[in-house]
Amino acid sequence: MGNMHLHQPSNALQAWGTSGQGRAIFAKGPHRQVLDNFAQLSRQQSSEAYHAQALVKAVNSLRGDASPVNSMLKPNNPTRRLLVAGGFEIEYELNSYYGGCQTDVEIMDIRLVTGEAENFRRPALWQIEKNERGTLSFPQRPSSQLTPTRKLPGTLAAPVKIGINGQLGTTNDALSLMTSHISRGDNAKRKALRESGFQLLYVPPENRAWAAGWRTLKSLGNQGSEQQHKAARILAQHMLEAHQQSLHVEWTSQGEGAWVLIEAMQHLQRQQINLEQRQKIFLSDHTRSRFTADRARRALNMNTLDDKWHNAAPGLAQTVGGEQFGLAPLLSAGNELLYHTPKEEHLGKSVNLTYQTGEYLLKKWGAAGVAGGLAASTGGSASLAVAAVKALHNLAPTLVASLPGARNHYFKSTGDQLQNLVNNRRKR
Amino acid sequence: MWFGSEQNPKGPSWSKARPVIKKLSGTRIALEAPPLMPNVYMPFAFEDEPEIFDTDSPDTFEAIDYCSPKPPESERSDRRITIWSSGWNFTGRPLLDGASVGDLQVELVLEEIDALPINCSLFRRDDLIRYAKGYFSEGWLGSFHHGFGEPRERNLYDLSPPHWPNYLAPLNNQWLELNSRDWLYFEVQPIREGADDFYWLCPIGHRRCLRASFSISRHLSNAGNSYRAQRSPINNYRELMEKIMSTITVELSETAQQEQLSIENPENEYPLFHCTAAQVEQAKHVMYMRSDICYHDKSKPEDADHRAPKEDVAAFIDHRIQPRPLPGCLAIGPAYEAADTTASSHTIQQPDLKLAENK
Repeated sequence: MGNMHLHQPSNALQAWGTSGQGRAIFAKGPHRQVLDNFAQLSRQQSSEAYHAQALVKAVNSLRGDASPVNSMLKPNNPTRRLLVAGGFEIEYELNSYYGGCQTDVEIMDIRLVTGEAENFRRPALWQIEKNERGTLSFPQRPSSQLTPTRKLPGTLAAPVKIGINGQLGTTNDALSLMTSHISRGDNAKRKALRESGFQLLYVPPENRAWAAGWRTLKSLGNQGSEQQHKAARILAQHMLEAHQQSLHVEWTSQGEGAWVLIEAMQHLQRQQINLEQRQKIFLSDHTRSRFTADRARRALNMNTLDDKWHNAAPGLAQTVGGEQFGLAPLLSAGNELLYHTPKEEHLGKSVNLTYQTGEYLLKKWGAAGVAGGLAASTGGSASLAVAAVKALHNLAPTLVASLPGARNHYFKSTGDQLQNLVNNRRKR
Repeated sequence: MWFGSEQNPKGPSWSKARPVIKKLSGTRIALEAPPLMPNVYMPFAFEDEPEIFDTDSPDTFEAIDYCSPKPPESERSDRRITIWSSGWNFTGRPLLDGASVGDLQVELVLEEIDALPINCSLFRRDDLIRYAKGYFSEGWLGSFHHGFGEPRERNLYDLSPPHWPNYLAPLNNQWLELNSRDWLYFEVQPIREGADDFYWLCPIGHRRCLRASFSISRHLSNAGNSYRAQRSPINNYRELMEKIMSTITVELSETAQQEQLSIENPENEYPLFHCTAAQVEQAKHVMYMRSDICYHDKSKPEDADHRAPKEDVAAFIDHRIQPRPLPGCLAIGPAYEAADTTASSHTIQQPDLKLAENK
């Protein structure tokens, strides 16, 4: 009699866990057992429990009406979905077990990949801190959830600092190179960073760095590798975790890391998440369009108050992917004008934009081209026009900077100076 | 030679060497070295430390944040201050090998212990050996990572994976005489990845020790682990290190001289410490298992086994651990300790024994 209620693990597909609202989760015997074990483990007090908790939480997040930010379609498979996290992967399908419009989740596979992550073969988030010798080093295992450290608690004054590396040789090199990118090449900041440590979303480099560079060129910086796709999902999840804990975060991407960062932002953008100005990004040597990044950070309501949010050496991949041959800053300025500028400052912004457009055309077509256009449209002499355009181009910064009141603002660019002048005039 | 190569990395020219002098409240340290030649891989080589340090002031030192509690009566340093940090970039062929094929970094650190067990002094050689053992704590040379079995044997529920050490140490342990001062020297071989480290220790007080740590890291393409990095020989880096250390002079302050005179070392008795045979065997295995990190054998498909042949790794380790006396060597031991004598090397029991002897 009593045997009737004995739990019998069967291989049949059955619902797992209590589902109040939302989708039901179905799993076969062995997977249910894995989930049960982890659910039990997650209630204990240990570091293992912490990882188990992350897994149980991730499975339960599948019950929600929108699919989690770290879930993606499995590559080369039409229906199978993949939930990726630092320490595990869950494969699932969306079915309709009871029929009707309610879908439910069927767990197909659960893979623990902590080993892979610990061995730097898989993207994961690492808390980098000063070791006993006094140098920054990787801890024993990556963190499965984003948690602030003691020294960078994620407040406004001490935001969590997280780096995302690009295609950098070896693992330890990634650490020292990211140190200089996160500290923006500044000695004093670097010394402080050694004391505070930082976190690193380590993306393993591809075997052929040339291949990665070529993909960037071929796709104008729009394509990522499978590894990068996974990294972007994991990053999106960490971004969301930081948001749920109301942490202030400063993300710094290096090189191809920009692809991962921007992709992750776009995943959050699709879920219409408002980050309430608590997170900000910095792109260093980005190889993906800065304009895409700019649009995404505004859509997420990130902190855009920092004037300098990107820095790059003009390499080939950077010029093609990151700046789109100089078009990205223009598009960015246009976007800002249309959607993020108060009415009364429109005129100034437009002047700035016009100036920058002129600069762009001049750089792209050369002085002769612009002058040719000018001469053709006005019917004047071409050689005179060339001289005039060249003189104007060289003189404009000096002229503008000499206007009364122009130097009241910190100098950024001549276009910006013009904008401030025009807006000030109108306010008076 | 105008250019270096991966097989013969080119470092700074010795003709540019100039004196580096540090004054530590009476104790004077002088050496010669070429000026800092930075590359992107050494974010913390500044060479901007002051020349004069007031070692009597408590603010000079910073406390060391250990992960493990200090074993009672152990001789592990509690505070330290970096008095000189520098580094030199080594280059290969221009453009083809990038801006760097490797570098040598150095840190000259003054370390201090709060309190020593009774009758102990770093001027006593036995005690300095025990002090050096303090570096083998969990967050440092004793650090480890999680190991794994062959890919097919991995277990889903294995929540207690084997602990694999990150380093094989101490190697080539010896006592040296450099400009009439005794130094304790040992080497560290990383077996996963990271820099090859070289430690030089010289006591400058009962409770104070000078440590010069040199790290050699190599930045090669398609060689992201310790075994594959050996592709580029280490000799040129070592040569520069030995050249720098051959110029170091340490003049003790008067109080330190008094302290040194109060300690008697038995003549011609130089205690040494070594890694064990078991550690060497383990290192061979770990290095073999990890010889595929950031490495890709171009003749094999993407998902094949990219580890190095087991025998090659073992041969490298066997060669690496051979003792190699440096100029001025006073005493050197075997490659490794044949019998596993972990029990007798316990640092905790020895002070008690001494106490008993004195009674």
